[in-house]
Amino acid sequence: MMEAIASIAAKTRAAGKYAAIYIVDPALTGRMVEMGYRLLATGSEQQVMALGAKSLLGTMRSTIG
Amino acid sequence: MTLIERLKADLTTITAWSTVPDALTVEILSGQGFDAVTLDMQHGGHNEDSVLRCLLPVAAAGKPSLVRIPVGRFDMASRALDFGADAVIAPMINTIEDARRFAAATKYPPVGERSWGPTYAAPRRNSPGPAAWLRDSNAATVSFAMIETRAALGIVDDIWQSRASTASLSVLRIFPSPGPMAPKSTHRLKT
Repeated sequence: MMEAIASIAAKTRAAGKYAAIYIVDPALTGRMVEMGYRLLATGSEQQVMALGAKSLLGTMRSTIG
Repeated sequence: MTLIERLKADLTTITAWSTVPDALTVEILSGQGFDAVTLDMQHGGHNEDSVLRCLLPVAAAGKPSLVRIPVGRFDMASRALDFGADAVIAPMINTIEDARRFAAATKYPPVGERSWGPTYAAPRRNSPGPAAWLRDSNAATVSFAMIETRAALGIVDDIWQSRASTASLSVLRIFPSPGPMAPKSTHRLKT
């Protein structure tokens, strides 16, 4: 899978086009940029709200003894 | 900075991915640290009416906007640009004919076959007038073709070398998705 993704980026940039990709796992962001992707999509409302809620509640609950 | 200016400058651009068809929600999303905002009509809840209304808060935040259209809805590609989107993403571009039709819908003649009518886009993008709009629009907007199947992957070079890319579509981009090429057991990328 990663080989295919890298291949597409390489062929796209070689053709003078811009490569973009939807980032499923944010930990892979740097790897995608290294491959040549410049437009990175992520962060739906559901994902942002879930992460925000997890962080907010985690902080609050961590202060409760 | 516009989307095409960012791309030409080789800047990394992170776009939020809106699936909730509500202008107030998109306004909040646009106010976060993302470089751009994408409205998803394919798998998200956005529709023609919400795209028309939700492009405004993105523009008000001073950020580029993208719209992913449903599969094969190239008429909606034209409408999204007429509403003021900076870019359109077309899913499931699997053949050169798919690319040609997409290109035709997003570019004015003589490059493509887009019909004239930037009723909302021209004022939203501060166009100085019809002549300038017609002169600049093809280069100012971006068209992303999603390469997301094995069939498409096999003809990527052909798409780039085809008339769709070199003549009718000067800014065809690529936008692979992990879905159809991913292992059936998971939607996450294997690292």
